[in-house]
Parts: sequence; structure tokens; C-alpha cells
Amino acid sequence: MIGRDASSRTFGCLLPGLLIALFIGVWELGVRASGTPAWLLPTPGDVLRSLIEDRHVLLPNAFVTLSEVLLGFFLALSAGIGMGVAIYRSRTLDRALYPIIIASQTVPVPALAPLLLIWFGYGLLPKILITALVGFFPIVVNTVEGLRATDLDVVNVMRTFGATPTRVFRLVELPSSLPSVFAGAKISVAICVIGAVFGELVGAKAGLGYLMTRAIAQFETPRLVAAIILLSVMGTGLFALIGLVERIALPWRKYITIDRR
Amino acid sequence: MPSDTFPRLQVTDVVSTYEERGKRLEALEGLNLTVGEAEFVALVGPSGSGKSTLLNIVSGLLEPDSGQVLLNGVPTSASQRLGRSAYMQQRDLLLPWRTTIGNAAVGLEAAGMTRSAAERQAAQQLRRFGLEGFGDSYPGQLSGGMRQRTAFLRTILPNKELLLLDEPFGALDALTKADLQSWLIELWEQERSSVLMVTHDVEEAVLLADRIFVLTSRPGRLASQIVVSLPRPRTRDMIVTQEFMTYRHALLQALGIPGHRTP
Repeated sequence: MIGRDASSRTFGCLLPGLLIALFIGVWELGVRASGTPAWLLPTPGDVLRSLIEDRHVLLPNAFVTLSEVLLGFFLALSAGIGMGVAIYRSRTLDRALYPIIIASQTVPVPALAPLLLIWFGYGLLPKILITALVGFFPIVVNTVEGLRATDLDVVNVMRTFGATPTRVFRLVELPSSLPSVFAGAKISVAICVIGAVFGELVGAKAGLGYLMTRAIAQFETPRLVAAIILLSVMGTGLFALIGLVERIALPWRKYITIDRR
Repeated sequence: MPSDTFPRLQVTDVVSTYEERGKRLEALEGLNLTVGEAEFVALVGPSGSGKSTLLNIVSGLLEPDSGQVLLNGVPTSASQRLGRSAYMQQRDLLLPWRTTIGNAAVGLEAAGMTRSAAERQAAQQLRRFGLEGFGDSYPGQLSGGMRQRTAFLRTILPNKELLLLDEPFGALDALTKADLQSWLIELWEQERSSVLMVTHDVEEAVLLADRIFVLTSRPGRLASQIVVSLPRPRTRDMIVTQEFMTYRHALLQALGIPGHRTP
């Protein structure tokens, strides 16, 4: 029923909104009542003031971080899908490369970040690489697993129609893996934000991570929290954006639950 | 023309085995059958009589352990048979990301046609397959009967020399099934293609087929053969005729169903 659907969606937005409002309210009142100084824990009001007054500092730095996230994410996306397809189609690569990729996840990126800094300097490149390294893994795994989940009976029907392996891949395997690839991309973009900030924390000349280290050193805690809020808005926004692209690119998905015999 | 003198399909002494828990089991044990030009052949047998195995072999998905499969009199290997017949299974196996037209066209695309040309051909056939107005719907929006019609269109569109149908109505409710059977009879009377259909349904076999092969249970071997000489064109009304009843009884007897033993 459409009526129920619409009202449940409104309610779905309302509930987290109320929860956040309640949280902010308790935070504001609690900090004020206890007389905690702003450098220790700023009130939401302090943070909002910082967001508005420091916007000339915050926004350009947010833009730097956003471009690192986007470039790193697209690098992760293209390399991840490419490698996922290669691993799926080649038994040798599956045996040789897939275990290494999975094992590489046990290497903490924080340990790699300073190394990349030494190799590539303080510019954009090491941040993009760290972002891509962090975001790469969920995309590879989801591409491989998505391709492997292809219905074998459908593949066989295509073969009886005379399809070559390349055509089976284009007509069946690749499209059937897309929902899984999108799920991987959503996870990836969220952790790409973390990756970019991490790269900046280790050593940078610009970006929200850089701004955060400066704010901590100068006891400008409201600005630190403001930067964190911008980061979370960025992550949520990118996540939602991929969800939107998914809904446009895979319009059939909304019917999949209706009729399954 | 070899197709004038040889049957479309000839299966000789086909043996097929498979492994289960380390043991070799026989699915088919020296099976022989033929499907002639413009002949509708039904294959009836208990579960595990290797009916689907046979269709997998004929379609080219599986190589038999021994024996031969001849198309138009020419012995073929499995890889040579791929692309020669159109194979439709009980599950519709539609692509959920493609519309009705896109799904119907995919068999032609698999054989190398461009998507736009294939979809143009598919669109022309929508009315004949009772899918008019549903060309742009996704499988998730269609009823079971509509989905199966789409699968039929996909199967028939590439115009292969042999149709292999594996219980095409098996997953449908009784009413939809009756409706689609009548529709298939009509379609077949127009097309007169060579068909090998696996079914569990005794009435369906008598109603549709020119010849019925009855298989024994595992390993599958030919138990008997019934030639159905009901007049063509056939209609669903024939189900109540004395002649139909006689064939139905004979088939149930051949299958060894209790209550239908030889007097």
C-alpha cells in the first residue's frame, strides 16, 4: 500500500532525526550545567559557531579531502573491479593473487602511511594511494563473490544458445554481479574517507585531517569537532550518492522481492 | 538434403554415469530414441530416470560416456551440439535486469546478433506470445505464466532445428498450466518444429505428443513407446474423448501406476 509506504518512510527519517536532536540537547545542557570549558568539550552551539565563522578555513580544506577521497575511490573502484574480473576469469590468478589480496588486509594501513609519505612526499599522491589501498579490498572481494554467485543454469542456457565465454560474461555474469559490486562500493567509499583523513594526519599541508591536527595543537576543540562533522557529512553524502546511482543504474532491483514464485 | 532422409535427432546406445559419494552410478543405460522432422516427442518417466540428463546431453552441455548423438544423421560431439537446439527448463531462468523484450532477445544475442536487432525481432512476436503491453516490464513484475511465456519466446525466437523442453509447465498452477498447454498446441500446429519434451504429466504427454517414450527408473532405459494418433489440430476438448482415455490408460499402464495394471 502506497499510503503506508510513504508514512513509514517519513517515520524512518523522523526517528533518527529525533534521536540526534535529543542527543544534541542533552549534550548542550550537560556541558553548560557542568561548566566544562570549550577546549575540553565544546557545546553544539560552539561547534555550530565554528562551522559558520571558520567556514573560510573549513571548506577549502574539506574540498582537498573530498578530492583525495574521490580520486582514491575511483582508483580503488577501477583497480578493484578490474582485478576482481581477472581473478574470476583466471584460475591461476585466483590461486596466486586472491590469497595475497586477502592477506594484505592484515597489514595495517597506519604502518604503510609514513612509508608512502617518505616515497611520495607531502602532496596529494600519498593520500590518494592510502585512500585507494583502504577502499580497494571491499570492491575486489565483492566483485569476485558477485561474479561467483552467477546462476549456473542461466550460464548453461546461454551456452546452449551458442554463446561464447566472452558473451556469457557480458550478457550474464557481469550484470548479475553488479548489485554486489555496488554493495562493495558503498562500504568502500565510507572507509575511503577514513583513509584520506588518516593520510593527512600522518603529514599534510592541507585537508580536514591536517586541520584537525592543527586544531588539537591549538586547543581549538570546537573546530576539531566541526571538522569531524564535515567528514561524517561527506561520508554519508557519498554513501547516499552511490545508493542513488545504484537505484538509477539497476531499476529492476525494486521488483526483485515481489514475485519469486 | 540429409534432413529429408534422416531423423532430426537420433540417440543411439547412450550411456551416462555420474559420481555420488565416491560411487559411479548410471543415469542412462544404453538409451535409444529418435525425433523426426516436425515431430513432437514426449519423454515420460519416474524421477531419476535420467530424463534431464538426456536433454543435457542432446543440448551439448554434457558428453555421454558412450553412445552417439546424431543431428540430421551426422554424429556430433557435445561442443558441436551447443547452439544447435533451443533448450528450455522448468525454471524460467530469466535475467531479472532485463525487460520482457530484452529477455526474449537474449538467445539471439547469445548467438551473436546485436541487441537492437534482436530486440526488434522479439518485439514483433510479443502479441503472438500473449505478452503485448508487457514488453517493458521486468520479470519481477510478471506472473509465473507470463514469465514462462517470455522464456518460450526466448527459446523459440532463434529458430533452432530442435526444441528441448524440460517440464516447461512443471512450476505453474493448474489453471495457468492448462492455459499455456492450449497455447503451445496452437503455436506448435503453426510452427511444426521438432520437439523433445520431458514431462511428468500424463495428460500433457498424450495431448501434445505424436510419440511418447516411457523410461524406466534409474538407470534410465527405454521401457516402451506409444504412438499417439489423435487427429491434428488438437484441442483441449479431446481430453474427454474415449480415444484420449485409451491412450492415457495405456501410458499409465506403461508407467506401472497402481490401478492401471494389465488385466
